[in-house]
Amino acid sequence: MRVFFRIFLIFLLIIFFANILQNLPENKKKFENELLYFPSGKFIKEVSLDYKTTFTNLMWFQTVQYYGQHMLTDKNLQFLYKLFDVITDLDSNFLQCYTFGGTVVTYDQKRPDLGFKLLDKGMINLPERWENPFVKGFLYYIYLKDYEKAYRWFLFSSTKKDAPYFCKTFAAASKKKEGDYLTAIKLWSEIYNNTDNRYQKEGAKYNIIVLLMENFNKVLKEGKENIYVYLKGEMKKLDFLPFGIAVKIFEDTVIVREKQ
Amino acid sequence: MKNIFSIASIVFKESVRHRIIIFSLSLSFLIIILSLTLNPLALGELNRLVKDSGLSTISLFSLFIIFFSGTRLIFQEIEKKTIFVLITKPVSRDEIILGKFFGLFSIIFCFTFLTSLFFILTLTLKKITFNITIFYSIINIFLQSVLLSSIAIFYSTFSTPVLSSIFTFFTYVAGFFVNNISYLIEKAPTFVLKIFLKFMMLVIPNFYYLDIKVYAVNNIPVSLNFIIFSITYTFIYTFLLLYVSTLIFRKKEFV
Amino acid sequence: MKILEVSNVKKIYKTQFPFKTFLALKGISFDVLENEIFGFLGPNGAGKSTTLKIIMGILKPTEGTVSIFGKNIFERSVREKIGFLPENPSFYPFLTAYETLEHIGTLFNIEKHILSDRIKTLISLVGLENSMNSKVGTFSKGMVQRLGIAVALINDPQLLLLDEPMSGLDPIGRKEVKDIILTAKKRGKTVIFSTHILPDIEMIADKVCVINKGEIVGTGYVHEIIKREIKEIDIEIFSNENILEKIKRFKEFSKFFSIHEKKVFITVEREDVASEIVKIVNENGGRIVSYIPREFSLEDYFMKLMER
Repeated sequence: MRVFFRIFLIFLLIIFFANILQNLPENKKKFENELLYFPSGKFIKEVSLDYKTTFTNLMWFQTVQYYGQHMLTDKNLQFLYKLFDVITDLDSNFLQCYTFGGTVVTYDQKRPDLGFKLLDKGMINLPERWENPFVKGFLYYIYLKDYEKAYRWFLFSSTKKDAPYFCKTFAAASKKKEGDYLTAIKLWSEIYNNTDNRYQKEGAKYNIIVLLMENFNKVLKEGKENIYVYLKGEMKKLDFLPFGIAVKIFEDTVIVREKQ
Repeated sequence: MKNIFSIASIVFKESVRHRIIIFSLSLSFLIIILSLTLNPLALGELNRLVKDSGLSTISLFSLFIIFFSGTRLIFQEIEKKTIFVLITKPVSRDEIILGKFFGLFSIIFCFTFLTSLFFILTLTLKKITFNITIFYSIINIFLQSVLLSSIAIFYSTFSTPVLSSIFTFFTYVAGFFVNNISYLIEKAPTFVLKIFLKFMMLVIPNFYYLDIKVYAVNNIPVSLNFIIFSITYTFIYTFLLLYVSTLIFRKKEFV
Repeated sequence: MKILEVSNVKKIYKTQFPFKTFLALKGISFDVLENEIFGFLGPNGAGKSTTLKIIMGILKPTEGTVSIFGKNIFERSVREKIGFLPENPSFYPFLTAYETLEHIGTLFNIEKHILSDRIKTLISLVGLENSMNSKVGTFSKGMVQRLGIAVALINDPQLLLLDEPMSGLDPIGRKEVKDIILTAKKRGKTVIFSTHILPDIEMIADKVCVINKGEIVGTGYVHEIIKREIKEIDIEIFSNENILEKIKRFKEFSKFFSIHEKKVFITVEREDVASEIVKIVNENGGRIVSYIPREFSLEDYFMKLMER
């Protein structure tokens, strides 16, 4: 009994000192210091032998934790890109790492150049996937507000196999933001034609109508002299629309509806 | 005391006769010298590379020595029945365990000391800058080895050499991943699990937290406090492991 | 004075299977007195080594007590007075014979100059002068056994415990070991040794303890067991017809009687009958080819115990 008590006491001492050791300032910021001198992913790939996936998972785990921890505290994320870069070196098929990494590096590390680098790497390694160009377009749209480039990347992503319909929606949205409402409507019409989903069809139709309405109202507000002539000209350009529309002009507003 | 010394000297003699020390020494000298020639590959980072490979070599070969010689110490004695000669002499069983431990300790010390000497000499000759942290780092590598030695002795009091090698290795690896448990703690769904994980984090030998190679390589100062706490921690942990080992060994029968 | 007292020692080994045990010693008791050569006799697997290991504290008895010099074996002062040779001893293969003895000697806290003298004496005693500085790993079984004996003697022990000391040795070696044991007795030491070879005991032991299947089946002084009386006499005769005619009447007294032409083989149990036969042969011109009296031996004793 006395022996057990003694062992227990030493045990407590160990726990006490382990706790001190773990909370010394040197150990508190050790991970960051290690990251400063982190080897490249290619090197780790060579030395990790047959355990690449294990290493990848471990790194992913640590990276996400690193991101979360610093987002909640000091928002200092200077090593974020490096971590994602290493992970994607280890496992070039890690799609989520490109998309999530690209987004958070651009947004939270505030380095769009590095974020795009990550996404470009993703496009090279996974050329069949629509996600990487889509996220790139998205970042241009949201973060850099470069709608022309956003449009191109959205459009590019929509050409990929299995690309969801909203790639085009986003392309259209970019165009709309840019002011090229006609292309936006063309894209929406294409979506309208190519989908069998009722909701997507309705959505596309709604967007077309809103786009038209917004544009016409804008023209009206600008005080174009001959609005009727202008609208006639525009309607001619819109002959590709998959459904008929009715346009009513009031004194201060234009209303567009689907032709019943 | 004299018995402990006598048994320890036999352990040391064995490793000398089996050329374990000379093999480790010559290989690690070779690696340190080779690291100097890697200049074209190091892209201007030669200073770091030499320091890093030197320190890693010291710790790696200490590990090698412990795995190959430490884990066999007790069990081999039982298996080859040389223990019959030893324990029927006026030697207590505690003295046998301590003798074995200090034998291993002396091997590791001898190796670490000589390699470090060579390493520091190389750095000085090559005019590579280093500060006090590199000595601290060597001390901590030695502390890790001491802790690992006592772990090896502990396992070898009740399992075969192969098994205790494996156990020792996994304890070492676990000790290096111990910081990852802190991430798990945040995610743990229940309070009990959180407590359990925290407990594990404190109980598993903290090899990760003893390792300060990264500071030494980059000339970042480390406080003396850190070294003092490292030494205290290692000392207490080693003491416990040796104490439990003697308790197991006292109860042991040799058929 | 009792040097060793073993009382009611029981040993149960655990096997690899749970709840299955093996009873190695079924409660044995014996004493060894000072300046005695005590022979432990028994077939293989009888429990001799187990008993010796329990005496030396290598194993712990499940029941019962052992006291040496009236004390516990784990006391340092007790161990300093004992020399032990385990069965098939083994030593660190990387040390030389000299270093091995030196290592063990330091454990006994023997002073350096005394130790080096003693090592040299012991090495010549066991006949290892030529391989004193070669590594034990290169030794043959017999040489290791010799080294083991030297190791057992390094502390000039009061009590020598030898487990199968003669095994693995050539006839000269066996003789030398017997001499070592007898010399030890002459110098006032006590020797306990185990063996499964009868003549060894018969030749040197004062007291014998026969153990079989974990039980002591018999114990006693060798000179009492071997009562120097003649058990039977084998006589071989080269005879003629005259003699044949005369000795035919002894057929009913003899254990064995056979005639091959002129050769006669007779085994008789009584000495007077034998001398009568010899007398007849001599008187009638025959010739005694051989006359072998057989004493009651330890073997007979042993066989009788084993039969029980």
